[in-house]
Amino acid sequence: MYQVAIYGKGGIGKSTMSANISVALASRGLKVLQVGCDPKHDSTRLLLGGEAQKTVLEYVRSVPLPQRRLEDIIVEGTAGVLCAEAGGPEPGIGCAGRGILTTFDTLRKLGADDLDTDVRVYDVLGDVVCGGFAVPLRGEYADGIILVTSGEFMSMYAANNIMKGLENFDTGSPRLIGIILNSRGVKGEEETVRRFAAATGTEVISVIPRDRLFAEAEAAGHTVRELHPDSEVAASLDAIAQRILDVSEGRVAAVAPTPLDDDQMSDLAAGREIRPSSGGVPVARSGCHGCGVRGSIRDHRVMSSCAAYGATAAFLKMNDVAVVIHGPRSCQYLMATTRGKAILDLYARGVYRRDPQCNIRCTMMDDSASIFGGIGFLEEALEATVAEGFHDIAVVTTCMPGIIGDDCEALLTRVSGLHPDVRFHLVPADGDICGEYTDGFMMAAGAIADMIDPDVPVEPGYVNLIGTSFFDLQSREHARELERMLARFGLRENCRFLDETTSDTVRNYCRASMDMMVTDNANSRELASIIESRTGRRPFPVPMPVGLHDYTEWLRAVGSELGMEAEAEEEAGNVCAEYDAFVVDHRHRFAGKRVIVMNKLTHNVDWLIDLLQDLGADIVRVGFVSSPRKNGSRIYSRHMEMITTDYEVEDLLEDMSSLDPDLLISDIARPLSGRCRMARFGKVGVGVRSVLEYAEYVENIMRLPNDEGWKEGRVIR
Amino acid sequence: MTRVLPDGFNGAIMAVESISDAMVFLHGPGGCRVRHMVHSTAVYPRDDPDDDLDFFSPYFYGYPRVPATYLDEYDFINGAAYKVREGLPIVESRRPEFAVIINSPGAGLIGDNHEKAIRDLGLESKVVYMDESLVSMPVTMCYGHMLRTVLEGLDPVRDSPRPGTVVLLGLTIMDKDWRAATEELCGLVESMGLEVVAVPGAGATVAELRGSLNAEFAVVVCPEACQGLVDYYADNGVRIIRSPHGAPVGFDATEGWIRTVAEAAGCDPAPALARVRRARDRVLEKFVGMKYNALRIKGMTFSAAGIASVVRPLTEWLYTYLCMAPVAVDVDPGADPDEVDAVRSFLESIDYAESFGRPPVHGCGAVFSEGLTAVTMSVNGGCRVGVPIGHSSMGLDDVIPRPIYGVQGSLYILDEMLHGARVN
Repeated sequence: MYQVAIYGKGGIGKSTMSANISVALASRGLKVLQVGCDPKHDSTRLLLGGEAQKTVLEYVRSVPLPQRRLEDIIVEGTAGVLCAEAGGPEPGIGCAGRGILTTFDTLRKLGADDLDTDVRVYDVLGDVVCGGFAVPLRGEYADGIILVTSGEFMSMYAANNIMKGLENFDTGSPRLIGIILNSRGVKGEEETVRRFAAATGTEVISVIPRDRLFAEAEAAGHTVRELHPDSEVAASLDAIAQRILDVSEGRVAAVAPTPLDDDQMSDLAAGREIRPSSGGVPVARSGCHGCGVRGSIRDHRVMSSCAAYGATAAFLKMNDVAVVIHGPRSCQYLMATTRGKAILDLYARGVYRRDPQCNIRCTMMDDSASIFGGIGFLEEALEATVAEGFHDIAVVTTCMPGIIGDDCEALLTRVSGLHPDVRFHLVPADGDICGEYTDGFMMAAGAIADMIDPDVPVEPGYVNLIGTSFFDLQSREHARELERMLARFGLRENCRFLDETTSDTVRNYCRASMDMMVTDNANSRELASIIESRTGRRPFPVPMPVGLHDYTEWLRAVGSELGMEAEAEEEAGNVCAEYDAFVVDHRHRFAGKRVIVMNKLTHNVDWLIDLLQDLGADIVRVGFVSSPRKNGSRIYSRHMEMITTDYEVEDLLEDMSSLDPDLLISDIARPLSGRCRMARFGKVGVGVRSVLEYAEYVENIMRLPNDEGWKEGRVIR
Repeated sequence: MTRVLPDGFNGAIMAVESISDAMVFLHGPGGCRVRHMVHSTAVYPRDDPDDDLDFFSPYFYGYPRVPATYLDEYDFINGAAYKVREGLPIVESRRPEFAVIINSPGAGLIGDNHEKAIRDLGLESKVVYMDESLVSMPVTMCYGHMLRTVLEGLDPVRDSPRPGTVVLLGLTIMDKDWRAATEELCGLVESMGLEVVAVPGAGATVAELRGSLNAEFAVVVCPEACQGLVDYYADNGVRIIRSPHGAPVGFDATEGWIRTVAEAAGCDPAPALARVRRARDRVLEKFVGMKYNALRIKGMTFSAAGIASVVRPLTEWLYTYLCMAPVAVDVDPGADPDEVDAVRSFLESIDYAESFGRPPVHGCGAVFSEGLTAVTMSVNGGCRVGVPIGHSSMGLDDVIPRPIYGVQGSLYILDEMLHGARVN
């Protein structure tokens, strides 16, 4: 079987050409299948007496997989030509390119390859040579390509683009059969098109004149080749059919075209001599901030988790908010199981104070949504979520709606009007298109901050805690220590922004008299900035402390703020004495030990540096892994001079050899057997006492065997 | 409670990951990679812990499973075939016996040409690609479909059929404690004198898959997870054995499954049935010993949700063996129609017709479902006992074998019920 794809700009007459060529091929005794690959789905109309046939995509949308039959989407037309029509979405929604992919996949699965055909003709829209519309160009489909163009510039521009697409799908064998000039009657158009053909290394294989016979035949719902087989036009069409056969049987060679660059196209349009190709590296003029064409994964940052997950995680920290993930079920599954497992773990440890829920919903986008648009799916999911009784609903978009361009904002505006008592929040994270996890988290945090009522009056004695990660507080003991530290000054928590909170608590955020960052890192500062822009509130200048240095500073700052200096000094004195005694007792185990600290999660490391130095350790490296965020992430530390940034595991491995450490403290959860002792980076909560407990843990690590006995087992393969 | 289920995209990746020496090359964003990587590593680690250090190369970035192209906005706009061209040789350098390029849902929209990359690198015999819309398929259906695609890519031949040999179909590494499930069912089959030569979908190697076409029988465990595969083996002359009792869940269906295999293969079921008999006696001993707990089970309501061929025998068994009331019975997308008919008929026959199609209900005694739903409902007061029977909960498995199939599976379910009744 020979497969030929006929490409051309929309409206150029390629469907008319295709149908006529199919009939001309059939009249030579060949069995032909014509597949229309244009969303306007009129390719086969002239083969079916002017009637439109059911499109493959409509069929896929309406008929469940087990019930699909090939005979439902392939019908026999004029001269026995078999007809199939891809179809596509309404203009402006969905992804027509994806529709072409699905059409080919569906035809293959239903057994179209087993049909008894000699030639398959693909009639393809050539205005957009995206991945989907380029499918017929692939090696496993088109053996030959014909371009239909007129003498108008945009038509040749489209033809030139298709040649570029053909270059990208190079099979090693030339495949361009030639150009059909479908005349529009433009002055000098034949000469222009022949210049274009010559410049691109191909030829005009037929010139089809403007002829009233086309209009007459189309009005009757038939092809010229069928109604006027003895006409001049029919003879031209027969010649094209013969050309296809000649190429297919090797009597005539196809060519590999050399498409023109933009300057050359300008010369062609202006009627100038076409200059030689500049041959320079093309520069992408896309939405990607002007970055150059990539040739390697090394050319860009690697994001480990997507913005959609970050946004979802942020909203799920609010117990009474439902998150509707606008995307496929797999996204929901991956996010919900990860998040659910974490919450169940916290609940089991008694530090999650509310009953765990699973408030993630999903629009369950499938192939039909990616083709026809997913707004209907989203609307249905929103209505169902409203019916469940949620009053705050967040919509987070994944890659699929981001790529196909669903207008979620317009829908939410409309749905909000129908449900005035429900607040809808849109986070157009678009999967990873808007960045990685933290980017999405911050986008959601902005939406959540908008819920804060700045007019709520302040009540003394309450404090808000600001942070993206409350990991350090997620043990019962650490939570109690936090409560004790606050209670010492008569304070208690109002709102955790963001952790285990509710929409009411966020709304009443301004009830607290103080806001404190849980840790002094870039993420906490960014959250504080988001809150400040909403409320005008600035966080207390000293964040929640970890370690002796920060704790004493914090005590004095809070004591001064609240007029409780004496209480602060008393506690500072007690804890300093306790700390000093600890150091004396334990210093002998740390003194002179060479230590590498590797930090991936942008935790505060100052307390650890202080602690190790106080214990006499020799810190030979403090490495921070680079941030995968779109705009990077700053590091805040009192020990900046000790910190190596953009420190990757490869650097660690080199340091392990060259620096010969005794101990590695790292939050990268993987063992490094046999190299040196390795301790987990501590989640130490706040204050000083838990830091001392962590020091005891590290001390034990240095006294215990480096490799656990279980590692002697072998992985079952 | 709203259940959260995987789809065909998850199923396709895990199906390839189920093959001991094969590898997925994911054409998609890092977010899609990381969770599949974690899931795969959690349920089926292939590398020693220290081996991670050998994977600090592009596309792997320090983790051995599910290397990916890390698509971002640039790639979605401009296409990312260059990454597949660059990455495939790096993946191949790890020497998998077979590899499958799988598009993420977003990558499926940009239409990169993997066929060309494979051809240009001369890897047609070792690499296939999957660019179908996987999210439109139920997870189990896609799991079987993916395995069939791999088999078709391997293109094995049935050149030396071996009598008395068996392949087990319909087990997946997404099953709860799949390793123990495989060992349990292989043990039952082998106790009858048959030899299991491959378990496609649950730890088979590429060589085993190639050789599996020479098996005399293909025994179905869970039909939903081997659609397509069954036809493939049947078309190649392997005799299919499928139990009319559904998957071997609970003592009764396990016995039915054993008898079906024995009858079709012409072997003696007695050794396998004896295992069930002993387990039944052990249960009697324990239940008599803890009769006050056992008494609490009778009359409890339950919700069961999952794969139809699992839910059907489970529902029947809980009703007859423990006298529990089925108040909600729901089956996952892609259910086997025969199993759906059977469970619906059963519910009608016991006057619980209204329970069919209901997701797990708040306030029932026990919930049998995928782990996340079962555990969440048990801790938030939605039920007294939550028993995970469905897709694995990302590696939160026990060290003690606790599958849901066969004799061990029956004991696991009874253990959960007895302890659940005790503490509630």
